[in-house]
Amino acid sequence: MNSVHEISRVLRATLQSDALFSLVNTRITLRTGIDLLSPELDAKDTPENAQKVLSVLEAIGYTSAALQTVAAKMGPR
Amino acid sequence: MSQDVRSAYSAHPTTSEAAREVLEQLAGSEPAVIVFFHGVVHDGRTVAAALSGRYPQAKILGCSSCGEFSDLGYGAGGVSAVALGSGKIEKAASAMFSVEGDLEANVQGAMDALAREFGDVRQLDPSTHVGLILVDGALMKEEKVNEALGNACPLLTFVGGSAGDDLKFERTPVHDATRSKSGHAVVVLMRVNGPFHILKTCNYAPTEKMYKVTRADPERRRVVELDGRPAAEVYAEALGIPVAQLDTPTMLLNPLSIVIEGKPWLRTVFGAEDGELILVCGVEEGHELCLPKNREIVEDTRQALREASARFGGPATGGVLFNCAARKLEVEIKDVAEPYYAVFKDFPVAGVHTHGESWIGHMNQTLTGLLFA
Repeated sequence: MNSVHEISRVLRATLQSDALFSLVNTRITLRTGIDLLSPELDAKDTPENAQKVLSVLEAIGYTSAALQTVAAKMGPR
Repeated sequence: MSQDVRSAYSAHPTTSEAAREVLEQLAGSEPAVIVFFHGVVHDGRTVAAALSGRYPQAKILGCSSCGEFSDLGYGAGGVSAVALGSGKIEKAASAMFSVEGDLEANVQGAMDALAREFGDVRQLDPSTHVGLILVDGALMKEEKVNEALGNACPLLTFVGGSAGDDLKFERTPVHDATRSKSGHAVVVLMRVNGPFHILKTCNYAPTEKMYKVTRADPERRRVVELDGRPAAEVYAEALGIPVAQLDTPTMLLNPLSIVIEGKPWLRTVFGAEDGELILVCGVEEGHELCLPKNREIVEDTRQALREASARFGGPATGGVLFNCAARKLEVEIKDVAEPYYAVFKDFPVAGVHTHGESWIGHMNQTLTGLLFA
């Protein structure tokens, strides 16, 4: 996954709750400055930023492999 | 008024007398958890010992402060406390850990201790479980403490603040029933009977004035450059004054802020030195900082509590509040102490003026707390 939007979509599906998504998004933003719910997210959707977000998710226990599994089940956007 | 939550407040300058007055006010309660805050003139160990002696079944946590308040009074150099009854708290476990050395390992050790009571903390339901945290406020480790907590249990939250010492940043101990330590944090994890709400409010609104952090030293809480220029110069320019005029009241009323989901997460500007800005909370390079607009503090606070009441369908029955020491100063500068503290008179509460607040991350200039329905 090298798109912040794609990570956001998969994370939301993984957490299945707006409140929990917001909580994890806050953790991500405090560490990276990338707010997945910002209206200006398009401007930050770069592979480098996607990697930063994945690093935070990895640190809090959501591995890339697990997110890929969810993404595969969800299918293309 | 619910007997599940009982508050106490003493302005007595002698620790043994303050502890006696607190015990008197808590008499008849059956607490599962007691939280207390004490002025730097007091020996927190004596207060903790008095509380644990009277209530051996309760989890005790406390810390030093920059001032204390409750529904019963306010000041600096006293003791405030709140006893959360077993009718409100179904289960509780506490742990203390060092904020120095291998922080990830220390936090994991604390979570393992909590897990002995609760099972795997990563699997707990965040709608019924919440934690409180009091953390050393002199070592500038709160950002890393909050990150480590997030790594250990990302869907649970711990609400709290940094122990204070009247903004000297020298000695800020935390306490449990038997230990008093600087350089440590104490946490309590609770399974709550009934609804609770995490309050986080500040009297600042985001604006379009945004600056990118192009150089920073987050460990030292320094912003070196904003938009590629000396940070102090950019900040002063945004305020329309020369750098030399960046005095304490001006900086206090003009914090910088990260904006998340449209909401401000404030960082107090504590000083300017060699072109750098000294904050009370670290920011990373690449972050964008906003210069938010100050609003009226009393009405903003009243409105935040009103919204919590609306969620509950009635007033809160109790709470623990963490109010930034910068807000205490703002209240004093604006000469609105009487109406400000009157806002907290409707339910039993213990409050502390902190060196920063904790919830998901470290922050400044907020009123953050845990309220019970």
